[in-house]
Amino acid sequence: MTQPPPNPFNITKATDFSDEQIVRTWVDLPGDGFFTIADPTSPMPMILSGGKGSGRTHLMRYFSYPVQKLRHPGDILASLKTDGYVGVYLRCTGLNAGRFHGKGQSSEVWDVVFAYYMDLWLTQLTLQTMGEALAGQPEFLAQQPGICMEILNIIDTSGLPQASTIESLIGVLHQLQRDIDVSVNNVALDRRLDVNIRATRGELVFRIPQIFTRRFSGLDGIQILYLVDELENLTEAQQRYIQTLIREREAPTSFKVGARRYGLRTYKTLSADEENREGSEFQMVFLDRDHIENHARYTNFARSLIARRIVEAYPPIGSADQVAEKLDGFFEDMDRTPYMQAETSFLAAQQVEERPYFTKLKKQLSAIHFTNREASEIVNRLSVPDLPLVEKLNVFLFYQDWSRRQHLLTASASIAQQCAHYLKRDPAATRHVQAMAHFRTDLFAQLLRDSGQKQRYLGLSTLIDMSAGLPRNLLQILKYTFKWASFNGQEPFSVEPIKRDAQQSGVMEASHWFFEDARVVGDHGREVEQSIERLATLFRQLRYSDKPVECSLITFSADLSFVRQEARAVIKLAEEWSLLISIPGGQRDRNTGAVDPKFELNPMLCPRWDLPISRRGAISLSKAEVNAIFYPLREVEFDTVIRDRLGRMMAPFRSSSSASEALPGFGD
Amino acid sequence: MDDEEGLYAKLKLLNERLWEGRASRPQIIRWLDNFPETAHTAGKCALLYLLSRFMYFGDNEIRELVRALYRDCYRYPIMENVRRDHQHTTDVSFIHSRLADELRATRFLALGNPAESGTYLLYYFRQENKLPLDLFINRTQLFTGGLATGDRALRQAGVSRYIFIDDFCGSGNQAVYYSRVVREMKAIGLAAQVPIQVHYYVLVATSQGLHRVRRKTQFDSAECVVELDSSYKCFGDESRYFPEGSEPALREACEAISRKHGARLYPEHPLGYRDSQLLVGLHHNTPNNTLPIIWYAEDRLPQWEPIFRRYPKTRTAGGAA
Repeated sequence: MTQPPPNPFNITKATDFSDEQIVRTWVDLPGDGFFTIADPTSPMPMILSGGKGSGRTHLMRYFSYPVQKLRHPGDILASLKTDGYVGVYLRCTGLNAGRFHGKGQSSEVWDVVFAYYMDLWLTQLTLQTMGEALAGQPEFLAQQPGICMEILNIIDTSGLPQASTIESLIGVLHQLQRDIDVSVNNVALDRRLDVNIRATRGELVFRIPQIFTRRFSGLDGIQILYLVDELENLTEAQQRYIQTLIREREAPTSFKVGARRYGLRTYKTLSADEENREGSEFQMVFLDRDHIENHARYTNFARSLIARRIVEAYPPIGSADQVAEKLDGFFEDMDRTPYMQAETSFLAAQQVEERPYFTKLKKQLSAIHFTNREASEIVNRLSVPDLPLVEKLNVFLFYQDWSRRQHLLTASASIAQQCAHYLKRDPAATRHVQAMAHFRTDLFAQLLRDSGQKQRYLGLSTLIDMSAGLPRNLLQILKYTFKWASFNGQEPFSVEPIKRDAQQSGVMEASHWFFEDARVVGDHGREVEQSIERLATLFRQLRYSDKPVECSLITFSADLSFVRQEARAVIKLAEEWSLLISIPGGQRDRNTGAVDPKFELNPMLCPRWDLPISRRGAISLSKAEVNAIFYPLREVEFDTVIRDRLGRMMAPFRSSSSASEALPGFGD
Repeated sequence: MDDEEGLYAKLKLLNERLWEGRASRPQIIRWLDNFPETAHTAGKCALLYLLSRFMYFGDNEIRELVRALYRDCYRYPIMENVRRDHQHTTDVSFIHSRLADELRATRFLALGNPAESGTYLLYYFRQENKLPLDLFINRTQLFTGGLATGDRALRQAGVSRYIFIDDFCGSGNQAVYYSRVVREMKAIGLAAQVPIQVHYYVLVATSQGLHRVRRKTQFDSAECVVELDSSYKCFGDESRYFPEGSEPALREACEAISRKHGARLYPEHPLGYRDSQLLVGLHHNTPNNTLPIIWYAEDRLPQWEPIFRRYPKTRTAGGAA
């Protein structure tokens, strides 16, 4: 039996980490670090949002007291003073929030009960944190009974036992919370919700930090930071409670609330339905967007993250910095020289006329009544036997000329002439230079597809780019890649780089995983999935058409104001679930000058449809096209869209309005 | 059926999750190299498909099976009897005390030689079910006295139930072979007017093998945890691997390759012992009821690279099997 080597990327969710692992796997952002994005000492509440796996939980747990303690062995109080905050972390998942709903009780009743329950929970966490942080401080020990008395003064203590230590006070509050649990769990049976609310909403949450700070001078300058994670697990009504805390925040308390993009259900509060506003009541940070907008910084961060994981799994390999230096060498990359000769060598053994794109071209020419001799002459002019990529470029330029109704024999001669200049690096060959600069990756992709080869998503940079600002995506890609490499008999991160077949398979598996994982929950899930499939299909058809007009196409823009409401809703959902990425700044419409929203297909999905990872060009979709793609159950219209769009890009290049075939250059 | 790539994806998953890393791609390729048929994609895919159907019981599964064996074949039936005999009592402490009594009157032993897999299994069985060491004996501890001297008796005083444990029952041969011992135990009990129960519990068994044991031996019961019915017979009429509607060409290719090479490797039983045609392996060994192309690894010719090796029983010190 062979023991597989440890996979450094096995754990992809921060919730699965112990506190020690949170510290050990922590990687800060290059430059000023995460603290500049999400300053834990800032009194301004913050909502940390983003797609699934943007690193929110890791960051919030890093700010939490148990991790602060691990980060600062020794005098914890002095360290908290240096940090300027103490983090009280709460995950909304463990709450089982669905219990606080229905069962014969009005929503008003549940709002009150839920708020009280959360107050009690946050209070216990605060007391635990304080009790632990201040244990052994003589001043605190002296103040403890007074602190407990003041806290008990906030609540109705009738029938409750006395508590003069933090520990016993936690016991009292825990029992109150347990009583609510029992009552809530049984309300479905007897329809009786027997809960005695003993404190005004929010009083415990804000007063307790104030009592501690007032009575214990050592806490001066230390903010109590509530870290409320996984808000998406709360219903809209329950989120209002959190929004209310944000609105009513009192020093020395502040909040960082973590929520997936689709999980932010409301900004309304329980205070007369007032709505919190970004910049006024809270600051909003989208971690993945921030990463996407700072590509170089994210790339460096990702590299450090990978290096850290490798060092954790294989300590003898060296320091994280040393590993980061040689990281690229761990992944086989492809030949990225201008003509990619090594990558296209599989065509070298093939006779020019038998190369798939020439076979196809001859067939197309024959269909418009070119003789075999004429077709062969054209092929001969366009061919560059030793450089299939340049040959493919010639074919592409030929199709361009064909679509412009140029005389094809003349066009092929002209292209051959320009190509000769291009190969001599003559600056006059601007058409070739520009077309190669724009369409190189697409032409290479076409070459692979024409020859029945898999698309190549290789090299560390490609893997990082594919993750689209979501570190979990990157870890998933690497996890699958590592598994494939191990299965293939390789020992990753040892002598030889991870071979291309393992990378290819890993990328493809990660792409499938993402499509499944990002599946929209709820009634519209299938509609979003179908729409994404249609959009990706359109991009694929255009990319592999004879004459693609946009390079590296995974982006579209559209004026959404007049499209169907249902289509707009689907686009919104797709964006919230990270299937589409909104491009800041949008796209200026060439005709109207208006700025339209612009969206990119998440690069994680691209390998599924043989699309590029990096975006360059964008197409502008018409209202009809948007509806056909994003409005549910529009298969027929979508087929028309594809036909119309493709008709303009496939020889013999019909115009969208005319079904007749053009016969340029024939019979002169 | 999946294409080659799809089949490798399945095999990778199986290797990661169930096969304990025993069949990586290089190992699979070495195994495929046994077959000239892999020069063609169809032949290669047929073999990969066959391999993807292989059912493997790894260390974790074996541990789970021994827990299930004790629970379902021994503990629950005894508890049921206790309750039935005592007005369906729900008194847990009473039931447990009677169960403890029954355990004291029980001995567990492996079927077969102490150097065989049954003994290895007993180790897991004792560990996983937290049973005391003195409930386990070996075959030499069964009897006292000699047949010739006429004072033959059961050595374990106060024991009325013997449980023979085995890992795999294919044809049932080994259990049938033990029938003589069972008969003798029962005869001694009868003579001493102490009724003796002897049971045969096995982790994985074919329906056919189990049926044979029940028919041809005096075990009071023969039970298993996993029963392999005729659908597990690879090329049988009811094969689960080639159900109705599946590609006939695939089945034909798989059978032809298995039969052709099986005939070279294990001429008497080209598709596994007594034509069992199984695709089953255990953590510690692969039964000879499985297709020989999967497990053959003898020192003699023909040379063969197995994918799930079988460690054959060598019956004499001279090495003859």
